[in-house]
Amino acid sequence: MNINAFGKPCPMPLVMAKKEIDAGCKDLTIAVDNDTAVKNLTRLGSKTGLAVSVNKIEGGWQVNLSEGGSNTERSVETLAYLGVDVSVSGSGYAVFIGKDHVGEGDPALGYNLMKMALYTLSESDVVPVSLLFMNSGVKLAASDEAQVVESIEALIDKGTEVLVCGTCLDFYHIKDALKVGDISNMYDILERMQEASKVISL
Amino acid sequence: MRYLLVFDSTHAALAAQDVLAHLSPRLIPTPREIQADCGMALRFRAADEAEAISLAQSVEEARGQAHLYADGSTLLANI
Repeated sequence: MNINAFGKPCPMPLVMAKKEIDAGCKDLTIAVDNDTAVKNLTRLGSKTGLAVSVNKIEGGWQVNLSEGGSNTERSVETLAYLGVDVSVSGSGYAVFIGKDHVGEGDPALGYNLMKMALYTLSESDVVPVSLLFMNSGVKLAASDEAQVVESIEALIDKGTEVLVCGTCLDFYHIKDALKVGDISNMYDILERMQEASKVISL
Repeated sequence: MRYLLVFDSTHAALAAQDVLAHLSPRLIPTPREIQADCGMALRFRAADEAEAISLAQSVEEARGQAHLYADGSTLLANI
């Protein structure tokens, strides 16, 4: 099965691929025009036990996911060879953000602290492998404030996977307002926490 | 050009963020190289030093409580 995801912004390519895989597709080729999608699809492949191969094509990459077991290490080399940025994305730690403010007390202070925390995180050399948003935390990923979205985008550029709880977005009626990150679910979010060597909750 | 306004109080910092909102400033932790009583600093763009000082002075709550730095840690003026 072939999918053309050129021009489709994150998280569309992943959503499209996941849909086919969940429907039982065992040989999927998807064309994407950005390396974030390549990374996400590679991760999806290793999570679902599918072999991943990546080819450079005009304007982007062609990712093939097919039956044959996971081969994460080879994938990393393949990605580097093909020009996908595979810089180490952290010491394996996850950051969980369950609210849109840091600490409890004055709301304005709390919210500004969160803005600063996200900024500081985005400037660090060792960024988290996963950044996970739930409950009012998801509002940050749908924020109209440039500083907030910028910081999260910077983390994505440095290799952080950003998961935003879909149920929570839906609860706050801001699913359509998502600016950054991948819509996710409790299973994936919990899994990232379990996989991390440590989880920081802001 | 980027400038950094460093404050002696959090309240001055948050007030400045509102007054200078039209500049889309960034609220960041005060860099460690700069000694200040407050951990919040406001990074904003201005055409030149004169404009930056003028903008900083337009924040009433910042008078006597803020210090303007060039990008990096060069002190330009006390507000």
